[in-house]
Amino acid sequence: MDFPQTTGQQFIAVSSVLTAFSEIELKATGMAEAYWQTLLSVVGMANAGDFLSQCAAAFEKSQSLNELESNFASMVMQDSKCGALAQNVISMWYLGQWNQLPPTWQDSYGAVYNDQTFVVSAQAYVQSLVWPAFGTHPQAAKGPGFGSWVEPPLVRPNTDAPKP
Amino acid sequence: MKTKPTEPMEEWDAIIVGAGASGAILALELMKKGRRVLMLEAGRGVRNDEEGWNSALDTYYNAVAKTPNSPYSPTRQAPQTDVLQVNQIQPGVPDSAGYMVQHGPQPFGSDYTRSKGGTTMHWLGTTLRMLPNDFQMRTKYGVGDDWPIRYEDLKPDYERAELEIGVAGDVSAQQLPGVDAEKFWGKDYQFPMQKIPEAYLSTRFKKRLGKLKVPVAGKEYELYVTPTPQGRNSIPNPDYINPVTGKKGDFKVTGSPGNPLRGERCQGNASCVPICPVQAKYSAHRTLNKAQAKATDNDATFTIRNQSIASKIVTDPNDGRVLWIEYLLYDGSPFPPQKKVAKAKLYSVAAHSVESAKLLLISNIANRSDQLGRNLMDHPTMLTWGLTDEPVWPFRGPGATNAIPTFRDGPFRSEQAAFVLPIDNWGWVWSSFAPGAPFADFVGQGLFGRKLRQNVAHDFSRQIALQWEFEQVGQPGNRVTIDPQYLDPVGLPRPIIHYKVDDYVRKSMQTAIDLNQRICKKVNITDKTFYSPGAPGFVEYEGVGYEYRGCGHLVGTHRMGSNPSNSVTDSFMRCWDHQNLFVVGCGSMPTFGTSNPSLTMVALAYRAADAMNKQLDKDHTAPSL
Repeated sequence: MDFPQTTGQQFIAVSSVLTAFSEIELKATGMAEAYWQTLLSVVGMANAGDFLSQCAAAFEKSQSLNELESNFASMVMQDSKCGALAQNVISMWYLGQWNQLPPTWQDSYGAVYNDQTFVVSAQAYVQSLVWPAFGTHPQAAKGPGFGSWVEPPLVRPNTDAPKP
Repeated sequence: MKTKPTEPMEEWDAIIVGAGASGAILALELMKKGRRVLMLEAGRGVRNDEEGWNSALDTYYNAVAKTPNSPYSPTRQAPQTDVLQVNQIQPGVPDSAGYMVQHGPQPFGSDYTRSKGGTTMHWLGTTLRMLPNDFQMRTKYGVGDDWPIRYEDLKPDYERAELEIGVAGDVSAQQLPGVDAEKFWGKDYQFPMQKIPEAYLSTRFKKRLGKLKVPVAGKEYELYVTPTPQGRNSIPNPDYINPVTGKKGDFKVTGSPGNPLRGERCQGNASCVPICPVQAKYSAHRTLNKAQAKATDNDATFTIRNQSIASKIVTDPNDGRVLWIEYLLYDGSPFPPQKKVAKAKLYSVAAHSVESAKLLLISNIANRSDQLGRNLMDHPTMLTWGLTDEPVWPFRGPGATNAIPTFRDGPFRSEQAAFVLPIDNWGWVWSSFAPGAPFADFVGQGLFGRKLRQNVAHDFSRQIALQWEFEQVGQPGNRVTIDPQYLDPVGLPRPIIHYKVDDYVRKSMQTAIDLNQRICKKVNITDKTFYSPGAPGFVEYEGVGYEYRGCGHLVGTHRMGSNPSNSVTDSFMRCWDHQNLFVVGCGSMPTFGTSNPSLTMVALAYRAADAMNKQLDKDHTAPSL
């Protein structure tokens, strides 16, 4: 599958695979740049570059979304360096939060800057995607209006049981 | 020998310690009579304008752990407890990790806020009146204590409290065990606002539950779900008769204190605890603003002095009257606070159960009964949680719009605790830090992409939790003390907490698990409850483990009573030993049944305010010395 040219676009494409939110949904949060910069600033250009290269390889090997997810599972998520970074990219999109990397990661891949658990910004919390993923809005933000809670949400995600 | 301060003292009609809901009511009522009042607030006073409120909101957004106190950072000089600092306590080793030093045997799980507005900054907003039997626990059930007053005595003040807080609810839908509704509410009584719309989740739950009958202590009970009265803005009720003016429909919705155009209706932000972004929920800031406006109208004086920690109350050794109060005024600098003194005709300590008891203990006063600091209570709260078999769409609307009141009263109370059962509307937020922690679990299991998103949608839309809030009755050993070994940054003693959850509560935990299983079966909930032996509130009863959490309902430390040997104050909250000192707040309550205490606290503040005004009128006519 095609992989974009610029790092910004690459980060969005990778994020879309990891989160199952479409690229346009991710862009609409206005948070892509902030999350890419957070990744860069915490683990450095070399590690972030390795992460994107590994994702690029998974894209190259894949002809369909099914294949892409399966290749991401084996090549990215299970990779000792890239797996933890992918999990943090997911955490930023869904929760607005960077999680401190495992100590073994730090031991193996060198110095990192400000690697502690933190909320990327107030806006990152407000834009976090875990909430719309189950039909609601972040607590204390985007209040839907008086009495709206009486009915099911207007925009309802598919809540069928995931296939085993 | 007491040394009189050398600098000239300010003189006021009344000095109120604490800018929370109780203090605010006292101030408002004193302003109506044109008094001169000084209010001392230990914490910050910055959050009543829109900018300040939005800053608290940003602090909340940025907090990794969104605990009740997370939006309201304390000052260094007036620290407060955070619920994350509650740990299991090893016998003989006090836990001093948080601001409160915990002696156990069980940890006390609740916090409060030291700030202008007090703990109304993060209260949920549930406004249940106490039941008549709650006032007579000793007489009716042989446990706990009787109040020196009855429900009927407090009823007019409940009406004033419901007006000031702005309660939304439906009187006709209230169904209270053992209560004659017409007698309890009065004929034609209505709440100021129509009920807060009931959450979809609660409606589905109610429908599925149907008429479930369950056995408790050898008697059969029917579970019923009712809409909960709440202190948050809804549609004004045209049939409401204002108890003060007597006029029909005389109620005006009060919006956000910093921006009245905001918050005239609840917007469903689903974050009443810890912060309502639009302040559609009552906070003491509203009443403080009213008091300030009233001061201007009535040529009265209302001065709130923030960052002023009351440090000692000095009394006359001969007649017990308070002579002056000492306080520590500080700013943002690293320098020590300035010591100040102030004097008034009347004093009122309304600084929250723990802080009020602490101040009186430091001052070594008001304790002839040896009850000061004792009988600390909470609603130990046990959660049960699971997944429904259809989406119920949690995290939409207020924290709980409905509850099961069946077990708020009954003959079982002679043996075990009454309980109220709110149907939580925010999934597993309290039991499991949802959605963050369960989400992290999914990611930790290696889920990503479509499978992750499907799991989130499937599971999180089905989350449901029940909140079993147990009545606790006063135990002399459950108490606040002080010890010079543990001091805060300004050199004042930190509160030391001794706390035990006894079998009266634990027996009801056992009942609750049985009822939970019956409810899950009827409603079709897959129970996911588990209690970890490592959890701070893990307790056992008859060989089975349960877990309670603090409910933020801190009550009982300066109880009122019928005579000086059994209580700190009389029923007007005037100290038996100090006739010009009132101690007002949740600490005044000898028991509190299953009602969230804020409404009763506000009602009591009205009662105390009337007594203070009466006493000031009398003082005014007496010849001055």
